[in-house]
Amino acid sequence: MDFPLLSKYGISYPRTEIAPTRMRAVEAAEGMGYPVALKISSSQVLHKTDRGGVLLGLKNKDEVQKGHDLLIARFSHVKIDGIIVQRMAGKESVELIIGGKRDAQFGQLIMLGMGGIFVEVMRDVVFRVCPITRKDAQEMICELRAYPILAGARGRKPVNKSALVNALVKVSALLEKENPAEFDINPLMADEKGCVAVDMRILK
Amino acid sequence: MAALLKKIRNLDAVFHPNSIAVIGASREPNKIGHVIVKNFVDGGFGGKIYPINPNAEEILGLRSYKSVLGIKEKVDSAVIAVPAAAVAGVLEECGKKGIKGVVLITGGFSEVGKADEEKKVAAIAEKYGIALIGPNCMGVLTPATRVDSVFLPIYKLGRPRVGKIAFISQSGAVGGCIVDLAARAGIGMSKFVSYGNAAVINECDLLEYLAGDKETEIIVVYLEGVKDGRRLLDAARRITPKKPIVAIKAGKSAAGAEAAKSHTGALAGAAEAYKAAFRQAHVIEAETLEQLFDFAKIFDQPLPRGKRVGIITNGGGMGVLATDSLEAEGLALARLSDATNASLRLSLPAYANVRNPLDIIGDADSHRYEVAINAMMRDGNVDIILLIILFQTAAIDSGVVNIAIRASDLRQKPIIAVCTGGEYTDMHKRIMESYGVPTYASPSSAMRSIARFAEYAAHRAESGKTGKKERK
Repeated sequence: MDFPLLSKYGISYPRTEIAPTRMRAVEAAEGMGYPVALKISSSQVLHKTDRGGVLLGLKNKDEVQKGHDLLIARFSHVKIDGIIVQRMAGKESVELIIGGKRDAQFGQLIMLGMGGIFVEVMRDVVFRVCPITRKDAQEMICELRAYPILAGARGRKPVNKSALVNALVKVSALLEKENPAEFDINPLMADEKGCVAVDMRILK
Repeated sequence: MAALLKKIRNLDAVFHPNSIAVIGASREPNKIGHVIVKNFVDGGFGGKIYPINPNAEEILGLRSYKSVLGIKEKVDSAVIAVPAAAVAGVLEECGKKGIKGVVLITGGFSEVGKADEEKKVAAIAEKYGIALIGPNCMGVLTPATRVDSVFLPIYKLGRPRVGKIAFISQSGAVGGCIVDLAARAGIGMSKFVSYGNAAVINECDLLEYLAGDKETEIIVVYLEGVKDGRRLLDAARRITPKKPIVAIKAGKSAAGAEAAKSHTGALAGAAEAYKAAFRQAHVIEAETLEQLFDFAKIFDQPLPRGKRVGIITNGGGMGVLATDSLEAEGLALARLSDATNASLRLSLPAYANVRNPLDIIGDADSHRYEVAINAMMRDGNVDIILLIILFQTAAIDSGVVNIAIRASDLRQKPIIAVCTGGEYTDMHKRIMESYGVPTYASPSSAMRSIARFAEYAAHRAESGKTGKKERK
């Protein structure tokens, strides 16, 4: 998985590599740091999770080796392109969504919201008209109803607010420049170290 | 700010004309063209009035003309209420006559699909640089100059006193209702504009004009849609560091959002876009028509230095409700200073509980309010004074109204009143309103307004600071 558009605007996403061999899988995991996820990469396997093609939370070299071998054995009957190694967000990370939309009246709007089930059910989202300043970005974060969770409620570590502000300002730049009809980074995983885009979608 | 466009400058002729032509003036009392002439005459307009009607010699005792071109003297402004087909012709004559401002009441243009006809009319206005309001509008009021082209009879739709609030409304019907309510409540206005289809002068032009209008200190806007959202955002951003804008956006249905393919697309409707723009420009957004003027009228008071509220009440329960609302709105309960506490203990009865909210007890008379207000005025810990006055008690007397008004006239701290009750209470509220003391029917509506007021004051203080930095 590679997001050239995100790279272009300096928005970080979890490092991902396709390892053709067991040794390469271990090297990749060591290089990006633990925990990692291993996923089968094959055009013949569409629903990876349902078919047992995804292993999550592997914490060391030994687990990666065993995991690699398990996936190879489990999918010995199909053509395999390799094993995807992906850095996983830590347990304490919060799922967010950053999005954009071209509005007929105001041009690009940027949205920040709580991700996962919250975006659908709670509609805990905040909008601004682009471009936004760092101050706007800070206010957006504080205006979320779930802000106490981001600020570190009940002994959680607070998410890195300045990294989130950076991400918002960068997405604002992306929206202004690319002017997409719709845009989603969903989820954006945020923790005390920073935030990374796990998946994105752009509609021209 | 860049020099205003000619058509925006020419709005002066609409609001402050020395002479006005009413084109389509009529002798029939139930015709719009008659009501408008009558409103100018009865309203006490100080300038010249020229009824224009091809078939009349005289209307309401005024000499009538066949065309504006037949008037020898200079004419500043015109109100047009002729059928749609005749508009282009009479507007052309207005241009030739050198008339600078026109209020075009006539409907039957873009609102019924006749956009081309409207463009034709707009082109004539642009050619002569005429500030044209409308078409399809209800008219304009300037209480100070008694300009009154609102075509509804004065006995049916009350006219507000002279005040500092300019109110512009895309909808004539909604605008008219609010004007009527404001008049009854004793709220003053500097201008009222029903701007209709906005063929020439739109909401942004009006905002820019009102930003420089000496009579206007508060701008209230009823919007359904705008032609250029970015321009609205930019204009509002420039204005709010100088004058507050209170706005309501009607028509928030999620049409269009259903077709979205992404999460963001599905969540981003027109309401979110306007809300975001208002937030960024520090426009105070009202959710309901009641809030529109609840928020606006509080700006008659001096801006508070902070958000610490001192509450004075003659009913304990109302003080509790006010405290609940205060917390919900993110305001702070002022901590009265030791000096204030000491002086209140001396001057209030022993059974009064000296703290904030300050319950001066159900047997309080107006003098007790005066003592409490004076103490809070002197206390540096109090930024805003909220008076809860229940007029139902046996002890309270009407003198409390004068005390509130005198305190407000000092212009030291905002004085806001909550009076909950019926006819007798309303009578007192109206008097306070007409002297600029904002009154509310409930602690919650008062606190919500105070919160918007304090937030705006913080924005002003902030932009004042950055403004100074920029100048250096």
